[in-house]
Amino acid sequence: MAAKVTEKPIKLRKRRSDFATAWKGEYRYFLLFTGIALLGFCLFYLYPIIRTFVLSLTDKTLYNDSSSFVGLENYVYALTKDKLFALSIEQSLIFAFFSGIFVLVTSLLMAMLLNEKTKFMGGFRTILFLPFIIPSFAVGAVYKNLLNPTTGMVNSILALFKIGDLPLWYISPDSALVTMIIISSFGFGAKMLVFLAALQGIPEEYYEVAEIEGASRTRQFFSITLPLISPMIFFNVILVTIDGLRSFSLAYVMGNGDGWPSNSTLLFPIYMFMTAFNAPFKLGYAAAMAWIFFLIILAFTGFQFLLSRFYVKNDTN
Amino acid sequence: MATKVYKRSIRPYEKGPQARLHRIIVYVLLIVFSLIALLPFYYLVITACKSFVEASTKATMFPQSFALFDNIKFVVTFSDYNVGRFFLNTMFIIVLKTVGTVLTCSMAAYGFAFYKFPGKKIIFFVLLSALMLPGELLGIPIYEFYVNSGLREVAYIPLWLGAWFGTDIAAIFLFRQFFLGMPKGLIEAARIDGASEFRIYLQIILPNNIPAITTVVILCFVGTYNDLYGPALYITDPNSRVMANSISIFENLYSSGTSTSLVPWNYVSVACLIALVPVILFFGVLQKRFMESVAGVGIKG
Repeated sequence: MAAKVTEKPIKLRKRRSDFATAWKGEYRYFLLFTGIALLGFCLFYLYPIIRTFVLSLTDKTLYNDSSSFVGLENYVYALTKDKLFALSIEQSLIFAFFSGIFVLVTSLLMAMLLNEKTKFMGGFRTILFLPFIIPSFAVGAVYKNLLNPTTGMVNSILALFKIGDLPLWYISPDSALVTMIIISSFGFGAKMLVFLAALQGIPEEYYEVAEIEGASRTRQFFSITLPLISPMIFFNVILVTIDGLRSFSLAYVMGNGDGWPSNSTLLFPIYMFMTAFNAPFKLGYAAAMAWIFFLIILAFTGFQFLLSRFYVKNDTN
Repeated sequence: MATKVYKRSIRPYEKGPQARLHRIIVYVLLIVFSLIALLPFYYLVITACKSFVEASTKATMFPQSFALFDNIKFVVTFSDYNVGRFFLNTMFIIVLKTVGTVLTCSMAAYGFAFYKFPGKKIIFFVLLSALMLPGELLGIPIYEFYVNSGLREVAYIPLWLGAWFGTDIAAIFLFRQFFLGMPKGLIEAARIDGASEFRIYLQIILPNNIPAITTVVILCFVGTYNDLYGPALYITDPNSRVMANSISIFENLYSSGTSTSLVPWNYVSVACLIALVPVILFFGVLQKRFMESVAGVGIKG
């Protein structure tokens, strides 16, 4: 048996030297197993990107076969004339920024709380995971109900404190976006788990030593916890940025699919959805907007990578 | 062991007034956050119990009327709300999508993990970088294709066909990570015993990576169940609705498109609760495994 096992690598090396035999062996199997996925990549990623770019240079609409080449006109129109596009991008950026910060802070705080050694932790854990379980389409409906100015519970609690004007929450164009940011900050589930995993990877001895040396808890947090989980902070920052910019479901439910009230919840994905997939199905124009949006996401992700050099301590790996 | 993840040794040096203060703060925060987390659920349940008049006019924190059974009866017998059908529609999509994802993605991951190919690393990097592409950029041509080919309304094809082409790149990545951690000897031994490559994949790789499969199944189930974008895009026939877009039936019950009109929150709440049942059952059964796997992925990520 042992002789057979040692024989194997030699055989492989022989195969590699000759493409024809390699084709019969490993190469063929590689293509056999990955073939479907590679074909899928071409069909569902490569082709759509190219096609989106081609479309973005035309005035194509869905049911209209005769479309003409318009060059960069779509891009110019989106960047200079389309007020709704500018508004939707602006609101998406505001939403992504504030909701991102809230989500990061709440998820880190939650993870630290759940990482504590206390009684009833099992119970607290189950309860704090509840918001994670509610599907996002139900979240919107529940919070709309909860925050309804006349029939919602939140305002009836606030009324107990005799505040003069109760907030109108999602009903008013002035507060609808803020309301959405507040609601989205409860969507910390996955990020919290990532932080929790990172916190549990920190050796307990570090804290013990710090304690003996007389470091305060705040000091421990800034000198041990934060640097050691900084790679995961970066991971979550990227997740949160992309999630925030691409946020669709909540805005779709809160704004009834069209950015109600008066476009105040119109995030970019909603606006693109309305342009491309509702009458008059302006595919060409929507494609141009999608490309601009993609470049914006790319710019922000790149910016995050640059920023990460200043706070990610990668000495463990 | 799920419990292992959360347990932590007691710090023996944690004594004295400072530690007590710390402990009190932790408890207060935990209780406050728990209340915040429970509030929506509590309100969902009590609103489901309220009568229509109370739910749509008063903001009572304790229901003054009890109409839960009437509400359920109204919702379940409402002619547009065919909940059994919606549930089966959802499960149809979920099952097809999950089976497709597990099969094609694990196969691709197996190929990437164990076979040589010129430029394999570059191919894999290109695949991974596609993860960063926003769906907005890809959606238009795919939508155009499904509409023009007439497949849009046929058996929910747009919602699951992609899954059979290994398009869930995150799943490929996840499978590959798990496969690479397997002992090589196991595969070589099977090869020496004369097992075909496909048989190795089917009888050695898959059975030895049940945690990876469970993770992908969970993520796929939850992701599909919660997805509103796909159904909003491809489902136009009211009868082929799925759970995700079934709640809006009641939200728009007394409105004709205008958003300021009366919403029967009691019926909406009942519909929400019904939509929650499958997810809660699913999580109840797989909770431990879910915590383990997501925590594991987190470490690797």
